[in-house]
Amino acid sequence: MSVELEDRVRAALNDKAVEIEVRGIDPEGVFARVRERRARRRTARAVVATLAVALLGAGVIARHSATSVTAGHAASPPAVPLTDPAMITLDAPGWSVNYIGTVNKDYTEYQFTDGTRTLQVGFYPLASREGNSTNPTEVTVRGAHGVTTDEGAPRYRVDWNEQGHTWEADGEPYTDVNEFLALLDHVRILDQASWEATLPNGVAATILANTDKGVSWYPDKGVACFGPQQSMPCN
Amino acid sequence: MQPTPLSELGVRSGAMAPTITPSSQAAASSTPIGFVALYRDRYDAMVRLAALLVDRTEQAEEIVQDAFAALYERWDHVDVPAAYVRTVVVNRCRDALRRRRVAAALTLGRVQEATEPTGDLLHDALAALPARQRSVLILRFYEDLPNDDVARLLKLRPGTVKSLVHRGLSTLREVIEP
Repeated sequence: MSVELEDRVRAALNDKAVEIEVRGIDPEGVFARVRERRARRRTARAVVATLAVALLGAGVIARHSATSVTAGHAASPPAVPLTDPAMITLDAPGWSVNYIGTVNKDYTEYQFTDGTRTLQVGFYPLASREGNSTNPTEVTVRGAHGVTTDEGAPRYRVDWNEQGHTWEADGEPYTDVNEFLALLDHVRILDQASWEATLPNGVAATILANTDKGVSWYPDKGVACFGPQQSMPCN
Repeated sequence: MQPTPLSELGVRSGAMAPTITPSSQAAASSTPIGFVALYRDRYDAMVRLAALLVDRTEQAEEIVQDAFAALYERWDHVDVPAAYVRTVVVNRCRDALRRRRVAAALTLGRVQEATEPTGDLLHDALAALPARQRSVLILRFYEDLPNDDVARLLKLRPGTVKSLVHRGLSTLREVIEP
């Protein structure tokens, strides 16, 4: 590829960058965001503490300690084979799935929420995300070796390899990384029948029939498909 | 694209656990010295980079403010603050593009938002490239980063970056030299 073309691209990008009208800098806006993030963290801590007290009061933790969020994140997950696309659920009280996206055969993504917190779990080809963490910290996640990416609390992100895929989990707001990692113990790999049972009628079939196009599902909006360049309806 | 060297900004010299109070004046007085200097030096460049990546200036400004907020909270733990901010900016632009693509599929059911044609073949061809190819070209030729750094920022393999650069340039060549 000629240097001349590269230079023209470089010049075109610089021209475009120069045309961008950047508003005045606003350090106070940054501080306001920091205050907001800290307030969100305090709220999250309060919610978690309230939930813990409520659960303790009901004796739920005593009866179901094996599935408690505080059970730790070193336990090995059950050996259900991970399929393509990945079929999972988040088996924790108050959590539900609010998005499934199969962008192509190499990338599937789930998003879960409990109304306050979010958890996004993505599946990539094995080892495709190595060496890309910012200020990486080695951790144990679902019994495997994982590496966190520094996103700035209360947001956390971690990569690890499991069942022939690289998993990426990303979510906020969490009180600390341990709370985030402990929640990942509750991500359960499902067989196809169990996965289909977690979704409304027809959704699983539509997702599976359109993975070559890229397909997404939101509970309140249904299924949509999109190609690499242009969005398109499924049918 | 020649930012002030960080050593001249005194970055890290004022590192301390930042404390934010409701008063902006109090917040500023407890802010690490290097943070504001870095912010003033890099804000403009980061907004331009983000705006090139997401093609929306307002969203770019949001992303950059958020990235600096993340840096502020991690100030004591970050070795190279300028690199940290750029990584967070690129990560968030990448997330924004992915979510925009999904949202477009859901709400429009048709096409991605088209950028207004400028009449310049090369500019328009750049804007029409798939997001991943465009992102790679921006980091490679606007930020002047080597392929390995682009790969780390976009969470791609170096070979994939080389391939995306080649494909992107080939597409541009076809457009401007038919």
